[in-house]
Amino acid sequence: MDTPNKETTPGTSPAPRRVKPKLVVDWERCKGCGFCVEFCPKEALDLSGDFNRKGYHPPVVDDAKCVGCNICELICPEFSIFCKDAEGAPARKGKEPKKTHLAEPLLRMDRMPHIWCPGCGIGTTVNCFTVALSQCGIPREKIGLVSGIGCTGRVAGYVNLDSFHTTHGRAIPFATGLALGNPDMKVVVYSGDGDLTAIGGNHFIHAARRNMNLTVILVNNFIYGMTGGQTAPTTPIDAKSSTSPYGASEPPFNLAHLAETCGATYVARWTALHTRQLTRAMQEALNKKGFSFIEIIAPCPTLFLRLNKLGDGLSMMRFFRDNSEIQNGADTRSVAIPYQGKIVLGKFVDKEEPTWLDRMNNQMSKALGTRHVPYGAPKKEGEAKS
Amino acid sequence: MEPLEVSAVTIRVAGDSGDGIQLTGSQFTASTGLAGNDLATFPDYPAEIRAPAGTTYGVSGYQIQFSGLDVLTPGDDPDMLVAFNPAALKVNLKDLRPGAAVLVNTDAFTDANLKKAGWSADPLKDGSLSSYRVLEVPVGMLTANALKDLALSAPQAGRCKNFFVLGILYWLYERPLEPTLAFIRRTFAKKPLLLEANTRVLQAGNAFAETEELFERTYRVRKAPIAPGTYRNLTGNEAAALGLAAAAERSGHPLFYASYPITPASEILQALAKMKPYGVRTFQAEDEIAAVVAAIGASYGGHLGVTGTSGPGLALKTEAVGLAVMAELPLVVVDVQRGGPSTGLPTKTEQADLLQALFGRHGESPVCVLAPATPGECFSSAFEACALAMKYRVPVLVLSDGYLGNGSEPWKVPKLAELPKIDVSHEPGCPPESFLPYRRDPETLARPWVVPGMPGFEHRIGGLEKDAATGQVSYDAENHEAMVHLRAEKVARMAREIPATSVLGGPDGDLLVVGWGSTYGAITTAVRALRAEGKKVSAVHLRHLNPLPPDLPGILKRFPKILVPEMNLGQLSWLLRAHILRPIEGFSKVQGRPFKVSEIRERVLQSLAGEGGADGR
Repeated sequence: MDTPNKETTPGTSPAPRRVKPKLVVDWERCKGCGFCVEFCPKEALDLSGDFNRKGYHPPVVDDAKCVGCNICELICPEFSIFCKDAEGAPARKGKEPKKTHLAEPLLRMDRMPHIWCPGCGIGTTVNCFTVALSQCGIPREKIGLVSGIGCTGRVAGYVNLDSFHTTHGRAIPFATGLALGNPDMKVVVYSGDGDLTAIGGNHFIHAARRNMNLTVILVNNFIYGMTGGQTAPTTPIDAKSSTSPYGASEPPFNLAHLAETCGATYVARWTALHTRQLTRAMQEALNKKGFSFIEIIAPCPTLFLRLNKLGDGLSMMRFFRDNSEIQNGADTRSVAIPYQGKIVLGKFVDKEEPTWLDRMNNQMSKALGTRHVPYGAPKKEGEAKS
Repeated sequence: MEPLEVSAVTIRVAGDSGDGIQLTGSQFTASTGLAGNDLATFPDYPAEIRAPAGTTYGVSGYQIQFSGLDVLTPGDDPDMLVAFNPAALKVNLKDLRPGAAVLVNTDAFTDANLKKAGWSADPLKDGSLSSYRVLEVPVGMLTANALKDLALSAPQAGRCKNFFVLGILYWLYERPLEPTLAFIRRTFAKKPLLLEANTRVLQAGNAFAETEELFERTYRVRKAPIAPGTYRNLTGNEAAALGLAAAAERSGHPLFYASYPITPASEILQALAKMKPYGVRTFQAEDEIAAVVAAIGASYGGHLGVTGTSGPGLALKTEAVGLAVMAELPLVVVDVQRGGPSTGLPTKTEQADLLQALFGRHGESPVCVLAPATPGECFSSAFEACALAMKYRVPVLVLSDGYLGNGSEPWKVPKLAELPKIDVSHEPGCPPESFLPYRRDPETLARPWVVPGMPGFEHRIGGLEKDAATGQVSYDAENHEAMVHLRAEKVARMAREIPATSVLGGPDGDLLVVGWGSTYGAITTAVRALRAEGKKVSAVHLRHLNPLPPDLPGILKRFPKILVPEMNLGQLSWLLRAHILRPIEGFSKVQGRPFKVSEIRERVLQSLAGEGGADGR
């Protein structure tokens, strides 16, 4: 599926710029994870020797090396670094000069810094999500975002959207109610692996089975973060957690396979490192009708990595770089994630199937003909697609 | 012989759950309604879908009382018991008073059936029925005779025998055959053989009763003085479904009903699913939790979000009801109570979810609780619940029960336009820059119900505590306490919506009976009878359990004795004692069966004589 605004997707083919953009660092927002420094293709960034007020070392930019590719802007989980169009730069086609972070209009910057730990990947995924949102062509007021409980569940509180922070595990049924009544809204569920596939597992499989028109973004960090590092349905065998101090022994879910077998019409997996691909996948999912599912593998430095002595968030991002293999269209049966083993990434499923609402309306029209009133938004009765 | 005029008749039909007992009962009910009598019914069926034939735990029953006067209960003791087999006789005999008629299907009284039902000797022969008027009819044989020239198998012919009995009952009580003949024509339109068979058997039963000397005379029940209008015979569950749909219509909000199958509440989902052509949205969720959460999601999206369940399901929904309390969104939960705890008595009635409804959530989580008193009131109660939930943005729980949900009564169909209009606004009442999702209406304390999709008014709500002023997530200690008080105050203010409590009988006297929910019929009938005997007894019936009617303490003060009958161990007694410092006598019955009028009457007399005791159990 093509993205609607292909020509403006940032970075996929950076437009030639005569005047280089200027990299801006919000010194106080930085938590010193080092993602930007490590993954800058031009090695234009380095951690400063100075501290910010919280005691982190924010990055400093070598303007001579920076080419304004904005990889750092997308990978920074703190939204603390961004490219700004230089004064006097020629206007880009149909665009205002860029003066703020890409995510700014869609995030509540007054709520920053967010609650996520230094080196956590959730902020990076939100970064990609806001870019995907701003470029997917759907107006902001037509997006609803629903989260459950847990670290990822807090996304709902930081977006400048109509959003709802439900109880543990219940994001999908809430989103189902919202989406069924408001078919012209795109409802996104954004939550963690424990929330969506343990306590909320029943809702996950049934929403996929029904091909409910939802985009489910699941950040998988292999563990319960907010509650203190307990085993999750995604914890790989041998990995330690606070409730598996001798190593987990239960087989984990292969979530991509679970989603596909239950009926999801779009299934992709990326890591927090693969910001470009992730952003594109999110755009595709947002424009997909039906149950679209994106699994994002992300580092949890405070619990998963610490309990398993695997280093910090940056170590995990390096691990992603060295151990990921992109296999678009891979058989999802083969993409289980072993402990510290190869992670298969890519778009695994992308097919067209009628949604729950399509099928229901078709069935009702078949039985009742013109007597059937299709489900529609409350204030615009009768406008829904049948 | 001349027909004997009687003021009221109670009939119970009982047999195997495969004998077509509920169909026989509902057909008799339809004919009775058309004959112009007031009536009340009580189907009593086993939890087993098909228990082994002939056993006592497979016995299904259907009781109806009809009269020329106001009927409020399905009757205490049947005047006539129809027993299709020995097991049905075994189970129901204890409910008969001496002199009552027992119509037995003698064909079923075989040695094997007697043994299965636990009779050591044949009760038709050993004199155990000597105090009753026994009408022995070989129903199976007579049915087979009526059908002998038709090409029907023996089991097919056997299945017609309930219509033979129906034919007898129609003659005995002067009911018209035509409504059931029309039903047979509709049901078997494409099966001419069965149409012919059932028609013949119904007429054969009727002719048999007329010619057989077994039945000396017919019984005549006068027409009831019922106000003119269009009536439907409907169950409480059907009434609740209609009430929800009517509230959706009068509020201009699409009804979104999400539910999970559970006895005895499933009929609400079934009834609403049929209303899909009228804009009703139903969603059968994967579990109880998904059902209530989807309803809250729909409510956030601007719908009338409703879920329905029974006690076990309400337990599963508690966390989500708390979410609706916190998010301050409208939500209606209909709980058709059944015997508990756990799976308990799924098909039997009970009133033991009252305190669960009031308090069954963690944290200080107040909700509004209503309780209909009759099957027909399930309509008005559901309607009122929707109006209150939308006005105050508070979850409202409706406590029906199995007796109301399955029981039926003639119900005057109201005109939609005559029902009150429910005004609900989604206007933020301010420009986007000053919009605060938790700014309250000073009157109702309701927050604005701004729906998603309004540019500039995007807002984030959820289960975390909110700052009272801004609606931002807040962990501030004083703010939390203030919000706890605010949410409690909001529900407390709903008391102003409660109409003045009407007292049956005098405003003061020796004893006041206080009831709630489905005990209304038994209490009212008993108190009317006691007053006719000159006793200074009054009754009030509560439809609002939280908040309680503000005038209730004043009413209770005027009676030295207060008796609270309920189908639990004293939950309303507990509540009243907590609210109103008055001595309360509880009167419990927890048998999965409703109170009899006589039980209430006798208990009141005991109490008047000072034999009750504080708890009276």
